[in-house]
Amino acid sequence: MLSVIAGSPGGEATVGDLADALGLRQPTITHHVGIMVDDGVLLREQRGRQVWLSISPDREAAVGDLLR
Amino acid sequence: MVQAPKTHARPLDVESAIERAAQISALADADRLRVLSAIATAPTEALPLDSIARRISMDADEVAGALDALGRAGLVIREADGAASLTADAWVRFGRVLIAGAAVTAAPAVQHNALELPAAVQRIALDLQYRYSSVFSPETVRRYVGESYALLSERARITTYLPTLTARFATDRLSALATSRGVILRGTPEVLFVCVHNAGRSQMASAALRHMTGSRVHVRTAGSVPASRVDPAIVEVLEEVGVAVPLEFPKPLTDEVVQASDYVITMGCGDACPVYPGRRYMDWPLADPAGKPKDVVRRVRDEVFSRVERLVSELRVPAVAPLPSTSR
Repeated sequence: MLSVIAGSPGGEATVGDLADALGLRQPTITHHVGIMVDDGVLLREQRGRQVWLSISPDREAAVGDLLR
Repeated sequence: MVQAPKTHARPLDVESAIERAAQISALADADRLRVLSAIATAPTEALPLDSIARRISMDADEVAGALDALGRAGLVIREADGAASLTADAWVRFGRVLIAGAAVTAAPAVQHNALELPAAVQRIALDLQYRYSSVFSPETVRRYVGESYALLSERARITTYLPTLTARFATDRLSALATSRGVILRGTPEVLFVCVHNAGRSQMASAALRHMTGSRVHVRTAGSVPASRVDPAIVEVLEEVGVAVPLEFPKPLTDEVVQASDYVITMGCGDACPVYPGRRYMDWPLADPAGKPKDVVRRVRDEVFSRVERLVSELRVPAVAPLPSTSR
């Protein structure tokens, strides 16, 4: 999920984008997103009807390392 | 950011994700982290088990257990004499965690003269200066590459991989620096088109990609048997639809140019192209337009345009100008 978000245009993706990219169901994605938001890895931003997920700026470097 | 040159990152495949997840889970333990960081911060590149135990006041059996787990995850290599050193994965993916501060501080005091660096490392500096040209001055990039090399060479045992490690490490640090300055760094994709003569198909593809993406993609071309000049018929069918042909001359295919590329697209000369891990290789089976009637050349052009459009969407780079719609 992190690699999909990091590789998306603008560095953000919706739960629907993630489900499509990974072939998983939305509730599964939501579950994992919840864990990563609680932990501060992901930021969740509501814009209109969509919730956009991005990698928290202070974790971006560490996540970038891991995806290399 | 990232890319790392981060490139227009692609999602991890399943195997890479499993490998990284195993590494994280091996590190999700304070003792193992301390063992790994004891090795990372040691003055020598490989550290014997008893020295590790002494450095962090830990029982030797516990150190041995931690080393086994780290070894299974591909984070530590054991020498024949039992001394342990970090793998490239450990440095690149977790170096920041292990030597907090050292790897990320912006302005180390030591100046490294680029002229003293080995040729391979100077090439890395030139590569990264090009990649980061929109973000950092050449001096900054050179300084980071020099320091990264110095940091790694202090502890490297196998110098064969030093240039590769330096490239990864310097890239990593530059990305971190860009992030800390609030620059969103996605890295500019590097695309290489290769055909036999570098006079026709690769030149058309290069002109089309530059037309669509401007400076958002670095485009290079090369040929396995370069001709002496770009085919004038190619220039003509491109200019008749308003696609400018950059001033280029056919160039031979070299290892360096392949190594510097994220995407390598061959057209009828795949065999001649060296394969390196981490690059995306594609083959476009296009007819050679050399010496063919004008309508055949136009058909090849249209096929090239369609393929370049698909490539641009795969690169996830916004198009600055559409390609002219021809008879496609």
